[in-house]
Amino acid sequence: MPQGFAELLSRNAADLGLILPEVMVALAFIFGLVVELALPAKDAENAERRKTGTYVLLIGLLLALWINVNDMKAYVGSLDQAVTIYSTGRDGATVTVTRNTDMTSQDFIYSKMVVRDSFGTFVKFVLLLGTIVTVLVALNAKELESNGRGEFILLLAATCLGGMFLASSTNLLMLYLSLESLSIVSYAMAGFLRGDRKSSEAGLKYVMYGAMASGIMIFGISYLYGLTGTLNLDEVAAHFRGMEAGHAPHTRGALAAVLAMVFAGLLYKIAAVPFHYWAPDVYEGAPTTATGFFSVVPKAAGFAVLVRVIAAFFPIGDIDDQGFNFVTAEKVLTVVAILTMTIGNLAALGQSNAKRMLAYSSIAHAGYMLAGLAALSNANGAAAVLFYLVVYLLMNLGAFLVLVALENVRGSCDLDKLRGTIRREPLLGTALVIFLFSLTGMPPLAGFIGKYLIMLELASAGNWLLVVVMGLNSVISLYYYMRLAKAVAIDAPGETPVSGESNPPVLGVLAVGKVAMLLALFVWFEPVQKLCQQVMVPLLPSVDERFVAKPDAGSAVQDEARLTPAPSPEHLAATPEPER
Amino acid sequence: MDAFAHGLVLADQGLLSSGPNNLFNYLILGGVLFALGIFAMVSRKNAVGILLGVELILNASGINFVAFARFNGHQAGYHGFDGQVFTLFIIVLAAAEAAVALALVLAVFQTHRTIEMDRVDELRM
Repeated sequence: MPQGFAELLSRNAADLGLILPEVMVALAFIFGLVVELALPAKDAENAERRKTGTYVLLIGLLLALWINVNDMKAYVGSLDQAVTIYSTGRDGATVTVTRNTDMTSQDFIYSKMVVRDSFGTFVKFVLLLGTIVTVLVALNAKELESNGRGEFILLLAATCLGGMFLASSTNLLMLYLSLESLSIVSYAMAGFLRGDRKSSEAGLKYVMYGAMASGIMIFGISYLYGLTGTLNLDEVAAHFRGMEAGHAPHTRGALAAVLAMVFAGLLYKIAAVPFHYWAPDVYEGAPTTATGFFSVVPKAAGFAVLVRVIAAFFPIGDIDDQGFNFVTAEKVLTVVAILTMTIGNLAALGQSNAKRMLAYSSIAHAGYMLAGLAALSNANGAAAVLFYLVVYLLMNLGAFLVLVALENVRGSCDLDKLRGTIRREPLLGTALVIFLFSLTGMPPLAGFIGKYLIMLELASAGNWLLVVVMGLNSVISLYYYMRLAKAVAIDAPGETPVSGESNPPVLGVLAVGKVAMLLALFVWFEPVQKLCQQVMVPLLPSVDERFVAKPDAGSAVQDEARLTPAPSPEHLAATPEPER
Repeated sequence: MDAFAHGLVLADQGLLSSGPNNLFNYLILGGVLFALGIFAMVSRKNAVGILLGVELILNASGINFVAFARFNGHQAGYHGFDGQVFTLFIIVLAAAEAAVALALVLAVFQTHRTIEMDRVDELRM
């Protein structure tokens, strides 16, 4: 045995400490599965005992969340020691950029497969929070009662594990593996209700479209590997930028086509417009618990990896870099964002099923978040997206939570059957209306702040088109959200037979908690906004020059003044140091 | 030399060597397989047929990976083994994906008595 092997082994074992939250989730999954299998099979008397596996899992998830919060505290705790690293001048103005050394640190582990940084930790927090809430909802969902609830909940944790690795992968192999482990488990969850026509159809459609998208993405990755000889994301991007600089149009076209294949796979995961066809069908057919989960957790992981890939290929916030692909990427992202939000909102208008309506609405919200990414020249655009992810987690998961609760007693999510629910379920009905207000972006709620921050960053990047389109889209979305709110709160109750049982109080408690957090995030949004800006720092082009080759910035494109926001001292690391 | 050509390593002796055993031919094979896979996915109505198309695409990228690693792996800065390793993972994941997909196809057949994609279509409004 070579001597280096033992060394490698001990180092890898030590590295386990750096991915402790993931390890916890994996252990919880395994132990939960063992407990689930060890206990006696389907037996009505044992229904309570069969929840033991779930409780084991829940404890593991909570532990992972606790570890993750501690990690985040370690990153944030060093804020006081923030030091001024460099100051840079642009157009005569002197800008001092304060950077926190700890927030920028990135620990690359397992041959640079995975990275541990503040960005990944933040996203993992969102993923774990969403998963834990969904587990609590799934425990009280009637649709899963005779359908192996324990296994379903284990699948939630498995998806979360894939998402956590996806959010921290820096290697294309790791990216592909975690994307697939996220997707394959989701396929099974969509088709989970055995014998249910809609659920099996949703599962089949999900797996077919998903397999196509991942196949195209993997083909693109094979060319990226061939062109650059490496699978490390940063190195691929560095080679790519070196090749791209100053070449003939057909060369750029070929490179753009390869990159487009890779992005197709990622955009599929977040259901952005040319790749959104699967979403409404899957969301409608899947169990409601799964739909709420799909619209939040895999989407958050998808956005995390999208931010990582975009940050690698197109240096976010680098106002000096206005080469070909930077400007093109901005334009492409702008178009995709406009199409995604507009098509999502327009299609939602005519829906008569609350689940399908919220499916289209979640496409529109993906558009809003893409709009934040489209402000490439503004480093805080991506930070606004992170903020929106948190808000979106609260309000969308909240809306689906209430839908699950209403479905428990009504048996369906059709608008007709939801009429007048507020009279029988005053607490949940009111919560649903509040979530819908927040999804629209009404002022006393955090949804407003989320949209406002994205529009603010777009405006300071000079992308006024997107600001206007976002505003118009909010108005369109008002119509269908209020249609649902009216059905629930104002309309007279229909003839729908209502089951005598009432919902367990835990759902009401969760809903109230989310409403409270939405209100709190409206009032005290600044600390969270700052946190989002800080966790983005490791992904921004930095002083230690992450890119080997850089296209000549002194070209004619640079005179486009629209791409130069005025950096203020508060903008953490908004301005990278000029090379020259 | 054009840097793009350098990137593709078209000038590499592997590509220019005489005989059929060169990078170019393998890339052509991969491209043809990819095109056939896309064609199968678009034209087939049968769910299993679509799955076959997906498998073709996955194998096309596997061939690309191995060919790049084999013919360019000796170059400086080229991580030669990454391609082979990636292909192994593609094989494993293709199996996993096919297992889940076929289970879902079975579930659909039990409820719908058909696996023609255009007849499994209750969810369109």
